[in-house]
Amino acid sequence: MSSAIRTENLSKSFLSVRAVRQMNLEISHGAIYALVGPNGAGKTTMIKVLMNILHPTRGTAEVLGIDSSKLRGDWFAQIGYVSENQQQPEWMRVDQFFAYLRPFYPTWDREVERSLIRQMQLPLDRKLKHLSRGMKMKAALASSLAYRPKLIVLDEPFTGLDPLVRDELIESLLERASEATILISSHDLAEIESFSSHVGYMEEGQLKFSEEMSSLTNRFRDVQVTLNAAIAALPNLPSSWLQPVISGTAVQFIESRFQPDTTEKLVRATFGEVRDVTFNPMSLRAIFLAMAKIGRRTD
Amino acid sequence: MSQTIHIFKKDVRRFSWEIALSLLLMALYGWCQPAFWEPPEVFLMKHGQSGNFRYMGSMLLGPLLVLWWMVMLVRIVQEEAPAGDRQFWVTRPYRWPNLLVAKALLFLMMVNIPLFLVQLCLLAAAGFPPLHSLGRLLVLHLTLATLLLPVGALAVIVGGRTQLSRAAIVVLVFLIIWVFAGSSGFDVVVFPAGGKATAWDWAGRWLLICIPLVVILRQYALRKTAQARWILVGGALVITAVSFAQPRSTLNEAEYPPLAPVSGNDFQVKMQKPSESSHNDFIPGTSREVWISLPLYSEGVALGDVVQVVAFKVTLEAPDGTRWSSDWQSEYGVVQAEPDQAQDSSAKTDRKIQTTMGVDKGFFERNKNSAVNIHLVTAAVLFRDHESPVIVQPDGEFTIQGVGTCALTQESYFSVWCRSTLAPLPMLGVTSRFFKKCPPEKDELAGPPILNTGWVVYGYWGSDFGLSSVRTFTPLMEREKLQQVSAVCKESTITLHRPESPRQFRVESDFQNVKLSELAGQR
Repeated sequence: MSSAIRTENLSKSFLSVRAVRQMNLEISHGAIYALVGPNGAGKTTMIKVLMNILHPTRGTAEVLGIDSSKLRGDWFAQIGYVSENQQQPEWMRVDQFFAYLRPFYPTWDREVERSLIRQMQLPLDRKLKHLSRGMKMKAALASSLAYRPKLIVLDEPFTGLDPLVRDELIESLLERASEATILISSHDLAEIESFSSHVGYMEEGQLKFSEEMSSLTNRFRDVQVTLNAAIAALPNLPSSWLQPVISGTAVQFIESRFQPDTTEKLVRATFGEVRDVTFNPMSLRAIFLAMAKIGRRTD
Repeated sequence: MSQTIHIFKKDVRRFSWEIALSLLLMALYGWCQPAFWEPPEVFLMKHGQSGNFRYMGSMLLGPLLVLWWMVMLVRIVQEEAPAGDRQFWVTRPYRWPNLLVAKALLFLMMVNIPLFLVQLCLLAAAGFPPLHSLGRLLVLHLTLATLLLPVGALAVIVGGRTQLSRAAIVVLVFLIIWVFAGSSGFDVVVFPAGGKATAWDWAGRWLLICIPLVVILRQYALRKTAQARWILVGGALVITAVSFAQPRSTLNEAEYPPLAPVSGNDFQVKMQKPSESSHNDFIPGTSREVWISLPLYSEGVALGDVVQVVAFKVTLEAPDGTRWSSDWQSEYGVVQAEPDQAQDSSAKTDRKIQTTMGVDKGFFERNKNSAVNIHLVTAAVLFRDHESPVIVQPDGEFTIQGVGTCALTQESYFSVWCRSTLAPLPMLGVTSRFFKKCPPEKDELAGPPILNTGWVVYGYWGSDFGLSSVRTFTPLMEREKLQQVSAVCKESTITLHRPESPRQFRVESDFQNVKLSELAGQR
């Protein structure tokens, strides 16, 4: 399967600040890819480089098979980009905004437009500047979905939105998911978990991991070990066991390479006399928090 | 093309109020501009209360319009700013050439075309065939472009108001430094003043157009803001360097050969004794210079000749042999023979060529009480006023063929106001006979006539920021005479001079044992 987005050793620096470092990312066609990471991880910069808003310092990026630095003009008729901090022509009314954008897109579908306006309950006679933040985001999303783009790129679309609006946005997005590849950067991990097919974790400008959502949730486990006797110090642990904590006879850690057959044997071999071991599945939020903590500790 | 029109239509809707205001200001400008074509008191008397408004408007609307267009230009560009990383159009299917053409088209439709129409209307209203001036109007619009394109270049490299404010501050500081440096560093003298533009002038103008154009095109095509900023900074430095590299004195001495004795003209420049000089206005010096004034006058201008002094060079030689030279400096002065005063000693005053210059303070201080020798070289243009003069009665407007239309006024003082197209002005003079009052007494009529001639050699009036297609100018009369007599009556006739066959020359004069201290600080 060819890639909708592919980067190779992509770096972007602002003077001495290295916002994106040696990033290698591949997103398949049809994927719903969630790019997560703490604030300042470089997610927005990465997306801006992909959209040719910023120029890479080093490396290459391809979007829909074209070098991202050549992405302009007609190419954007296949891409829908929505960002929380994007300026819109706020002096326009919602209906004027749609009417203005329509001729730019040969594939603009009036039916889809009407359905999106209905679904999102957009007030056509109001100026964009008079809309609430959530409404503005809905208008931006609707204007980026009405032409059935092959690639939808959303940069922090849910920030500051109430759950109801968030659900409506996701609903609209999912209705079009079968037609497009979606790249979404967000902090709203609970929502992302519910619909993303892939996830990538960025920290300090680097992509720490990138894989299918199911594979990620399968390989992370919250491990609780109960020993027969208390131990003073931890023995040497495998590198995939993260954030180990001892409390008397209880040891807790996060296993980042969980395998049902082998992990329990490895635990017993490491700690000796083990009374009980439990492996609890982790939510994306818990995985994200754990990764973020490890990142901060390494600093 | 359809995308261009689509963006253009959107911008027209977006800036409808601004466009309406611009058109209104332009219409007002066109309505007010004729106030310049007549002396203020005449215009105000004719038009009453609205005359006041139009007179004020004629002075204010030009700069106001240019300022408004600058603001508009920035707003039009910033609507879809090429700089920044938050603008929505960048990730929409905009084609940059269409966007750029749409913006240019809007500006053309909003500014250049209406202004062009106003200029054509003004020409027609002033009595000139509008279509004869198309070429010069084009140059006028090109000059306007040198003013607006740098603003456009600035607008494409800033993303938002904060950056724009910062850029404006940087430009302001740069301009202040430029003006400060210009007052001492690159004070370029063109001979004659207001004369033809030199190759350096043209280089400066083209740089002012080309550098912003490169920045604008590149920025729309590539959106590499940092590079565009460096190009603009580099361009500003190149323009500054060109200004500095420009020769200070552009007088080509070969074009002003020494006046041959056989020429039939014995033009000489002499100097009055400093104590005889009639004016004693103090001119303050600077930390580096002391101002001195040479009370010069001319002699030997043949009847029918007119001499226009364009430049001079003064070399001071101290008793110890040290020298100081002023280099070529521009001067404005027209001298002619006046038959009635040829034998009169006061004629010297009438043919005065007052020359003021800054002398190096060190040289002055060392030699102020010594007797220095002055070597003066005067570059001038000789005109022969041999054509039959055109005589008109001093009543209302009169037309000078090939130049324009003039009107006489003597409401508070006598003056001649003329208007023309933008074509170069020829050497032009107006002589009138003056009386103490109208009608003149019999003995005054019988006595020797008091004549005063005003000459137009360059320049034009009007604070219209160079937007007007009609130029206004007035021949300059001798002040002293106008203070004595100021009435131009029916008995006066106005003689127009159109001297031709210009010949350029230079004369050298030497003045021995002059005390510098006696020349200092006088005007």
